[in-house]
Amino acid sequence: MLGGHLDEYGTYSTAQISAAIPYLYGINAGNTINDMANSKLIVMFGCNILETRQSGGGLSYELFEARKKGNARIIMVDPRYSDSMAKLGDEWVPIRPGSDGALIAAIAYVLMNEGLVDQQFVDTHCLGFDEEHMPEGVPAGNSYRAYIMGEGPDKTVKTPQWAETITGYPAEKIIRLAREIGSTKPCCVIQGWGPQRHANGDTISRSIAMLAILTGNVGIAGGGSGSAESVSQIGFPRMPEGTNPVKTRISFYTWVNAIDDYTQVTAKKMGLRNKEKLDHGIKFLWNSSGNALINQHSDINGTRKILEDESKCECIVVVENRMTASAKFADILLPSVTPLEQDDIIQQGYQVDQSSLLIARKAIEPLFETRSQYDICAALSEKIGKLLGQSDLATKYTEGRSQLDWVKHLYAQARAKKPELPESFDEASKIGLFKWFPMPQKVAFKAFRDDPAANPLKTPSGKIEIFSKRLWDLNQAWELPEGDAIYAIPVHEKTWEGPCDYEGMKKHPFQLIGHHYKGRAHSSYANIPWLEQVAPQQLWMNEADAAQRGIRHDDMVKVFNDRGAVVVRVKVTPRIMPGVLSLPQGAWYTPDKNGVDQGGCINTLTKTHMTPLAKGNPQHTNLVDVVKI
Amino acid sequence: MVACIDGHDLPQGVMWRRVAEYTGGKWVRRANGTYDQNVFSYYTSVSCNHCQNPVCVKVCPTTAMHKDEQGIVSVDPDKCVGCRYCEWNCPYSAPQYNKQSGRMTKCDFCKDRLAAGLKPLCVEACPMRAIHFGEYEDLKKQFGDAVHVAPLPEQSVTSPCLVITPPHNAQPVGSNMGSIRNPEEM
Amino acid sequence: MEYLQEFPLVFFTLLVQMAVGMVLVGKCVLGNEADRALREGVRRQNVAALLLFAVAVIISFVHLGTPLHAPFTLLHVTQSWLSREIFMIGLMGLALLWLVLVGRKKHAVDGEKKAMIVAGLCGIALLFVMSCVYNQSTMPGWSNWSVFTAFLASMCLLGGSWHGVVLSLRKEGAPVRALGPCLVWTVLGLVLMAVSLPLAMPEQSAFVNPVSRLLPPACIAWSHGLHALASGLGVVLLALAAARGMQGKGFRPALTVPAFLLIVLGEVFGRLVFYLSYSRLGM
Repeated sequence: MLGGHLDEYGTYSTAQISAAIPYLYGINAGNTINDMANSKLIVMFGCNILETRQSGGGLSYELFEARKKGNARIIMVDPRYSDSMAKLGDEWVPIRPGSDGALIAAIAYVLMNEGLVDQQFVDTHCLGFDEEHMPEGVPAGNSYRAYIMGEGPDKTVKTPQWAETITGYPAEKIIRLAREIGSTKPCCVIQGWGPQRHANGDTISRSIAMLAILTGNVGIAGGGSGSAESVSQIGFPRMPEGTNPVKTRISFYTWVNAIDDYTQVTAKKMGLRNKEKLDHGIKFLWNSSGNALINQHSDINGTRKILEDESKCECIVVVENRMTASAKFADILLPSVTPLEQDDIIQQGYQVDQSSLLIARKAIEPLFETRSQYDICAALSEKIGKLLGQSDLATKYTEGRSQLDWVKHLYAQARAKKPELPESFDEASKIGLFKWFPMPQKVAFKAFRDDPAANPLKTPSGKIEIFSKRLWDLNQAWELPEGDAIYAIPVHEKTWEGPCDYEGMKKHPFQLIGHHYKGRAHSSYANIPWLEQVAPQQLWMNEADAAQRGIRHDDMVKVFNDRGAVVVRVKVTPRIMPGVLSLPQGAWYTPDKNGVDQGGCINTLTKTHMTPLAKGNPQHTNLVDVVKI
Repeated sequence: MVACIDGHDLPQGVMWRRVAEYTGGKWVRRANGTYDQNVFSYYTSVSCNHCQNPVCVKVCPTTAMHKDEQGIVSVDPDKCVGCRYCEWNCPYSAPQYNKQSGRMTKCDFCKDRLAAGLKPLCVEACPMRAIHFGEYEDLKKQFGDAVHVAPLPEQSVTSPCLVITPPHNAQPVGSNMGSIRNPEEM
Repeated sequence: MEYLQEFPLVFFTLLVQMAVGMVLVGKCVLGNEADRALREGVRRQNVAALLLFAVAVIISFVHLGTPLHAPFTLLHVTQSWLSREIFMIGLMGLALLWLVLVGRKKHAVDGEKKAMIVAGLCGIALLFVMSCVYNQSTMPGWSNWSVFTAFLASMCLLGGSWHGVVLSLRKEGAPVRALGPCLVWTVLGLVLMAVSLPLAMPEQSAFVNPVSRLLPPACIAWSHGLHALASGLGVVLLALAAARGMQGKGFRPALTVPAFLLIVLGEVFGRLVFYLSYSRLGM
């Protein structure tokens, strides 16, 4: 309403997979979980549904039910023996974080060598598999096959022996895994959002999808695209957000760069969209109900220096109801209501087999001086209107409705979609929760699979672009830092602090990931003593590694690198690979007077180094060391 | 666990339901730096099994711990002296001492909710719908009469009214292949 | 079971066992003596035993979560060994009280001797019931007869060495005849301890919930050894003192007091380790 705003693209959740998969398939989509009832084999990469999709949704239960119906064998690829593995996994394939690309390249090698590739599918539906199916204008030797067979620029054959030193998974087991995947159909290959949250997430996400492509499991029931699952939604109307006349978008991850030195945020360097460069930096930050400022964004110590510099970002407003780490950086802190103190209308979270609508009425009136986001903005619009001489600004914003009025209005619109909902809002309020099930099973890219000519994908060639000319061109056009590159085919991408960073490991020998913990939702509820009691914050460490350092279960340890240090209790367990540590993300950053984080927040240790393609967050790629204290 | 703690307003340290993580297995490093492993892990969620031969009831000096006509074992707070002897004896850690009240407390099958026609809190809360309740004989008919698994004790000790569907990687009672790895969460 | 729970019970059990021991050893020290001074001395020790017993009961009260409900603990004697123990505590208290009251009648010598025997036997029965509280199959750490023999050992060692101190402090000197019973009871205590220790070694059952363990098995084994060492040293000192006394060189507190202190140290340490050797079946 005030002329528009700088927008963003991408999220901390899915930056790389959302950016990369569309280069393969045109859009990012997968089969729905309930389709797994049709699978004979399910291979899950960093996909921990039973811990990350427990509440609200029910994906965990749906996966369980789908498995019961179809009785598929489940293989889980993950450096950690997750709760999903404990409950549903038949076989655990532990590989080093960030090495999925190498594993898959070796599997591809076996599939190609042993005639297990679905050649017919690959020939008719794909571009770039071999030299005969490449786009114009690309030198020879850049096809996927050439890469695997060592006929490409790197002259390295991607044998299982080559992959085993990178992944830590023995060669003969890779061969056995490849044969099983190649000879079991339908095979559902699926990934969570963990593998793509690496420095090489742009290629990892596509590598995992390659398994589905090579074996011809794309677009069939019980198969999948190899990307993450899709969900079925009815899709009720939401509050209108207006039209933003400003089309410029920065990558979500570069907000700090836009504060620190906006001249670097250009289309060529940092993926600025719809503009060549920014005209000015971000001087004012409004942070609502978010903890990305300090806690969930990378490199807390580096980021806080930038935020503390008041010549850069001059004003930070935070709207919160808990004193989070982000709230502590506010110049102005506005106290916000909790969900219990406001009326709301909520449509489903991550669900597949059912869709829902919740009329959430307030349980109590807002306490003290707290206000809802809507009420804060409505009041602001009135004051700003006065300042600008636009007396109708407030009415334009609220459209004459209070928050409750909006809930009623949205409910009426929902009724238009589902007339079986009660006419009376009060009656609907009393019932509260409405469910519709079952929802349809969806097979991604089915139409394309059945008839690729009639139903082309939204890629330039209309086919699955194993080799993407767009990415090839982007790699030439964009200015990338030393050591970064954009790859036209899904390769094993070597990166800083990855499993092949042997130099880095001399100083900091452990790879550190931050798995998403069942004890909270990111950083929400991390401060609840009851939850902390049953799900305490702990660093996961392998037993043998711990024994070598004289570390015992429940000891206090310091985990550190050049970016910061964290003190936390340790969980000594065989459920994580040797050489790998995991510090569950979302714990509250709590620095002591020496700057050592006593809260156990992984972002004290992560690096701000955007991924080459998505310009996103590589938060699982870290090297650290750990000692007992 | 949390639904129970929340619903009954339990203070910190009192847990009427406890989930044990039973884990075992080893890693073996090959010369080339790759690994073999046989790790297994599973969870067992137990509150009180309202046993047929409850050791807590037998040993309680005041008769505060008692089994009612429904078969529910619970503590009479007007008699309990807080000696904690039941806690010493129960092989499921069901009796939990409440420092604030100076008395023992434990899962009482949410008998107030049952009387109102509602389900126990844990049954309603479990996202995997893994917890069911009912008459012991009916549960055995519905889910089978499988032998209990580690880390539970042998059923012959207290004859618990607990029916379990063993996980696929279950270890037998008394196994030393694994151990409880989350003592701090119980 | 938590660490802090143990301390009151350590002193409760030791004080009860010491009181019983004082009465039994006192009876033997008295023998059939007509020595009035000796009788007076033993009478005073019976009062001391009653006082220590009272302190023990107070401690046991205080360690309860809701002490005011204590009377209810007598309601389940039909099934609960703990309820039976409380009952026996009450019985023992009455026996000691009776003993002290009888002692106030200056001429009831025979009555007093009988009362001591009754109190002593009641005490042994009490120790047996007390041990049954621990000797339960769901608590493998304690599920054997070494608990009873260990309690008896405490009774003998503490009672015997205490009387040793008392005798050595007598202005009139200690009658040689009384030294024998003193030493014999203490040595008996050591023998009972030797019998207990192998049984008390921590079990390695896989059925035990390792989370319930308070102390690693190796620690327990070493601690029992230390306990035995302290008690053994104490008994040696007492034996030396008795030998000197029997040779007419005087029964010196310089030896009996350290003997008693070593034994007390050993007992407190040993009882603490006993509680820390708790373990339970299952989950």
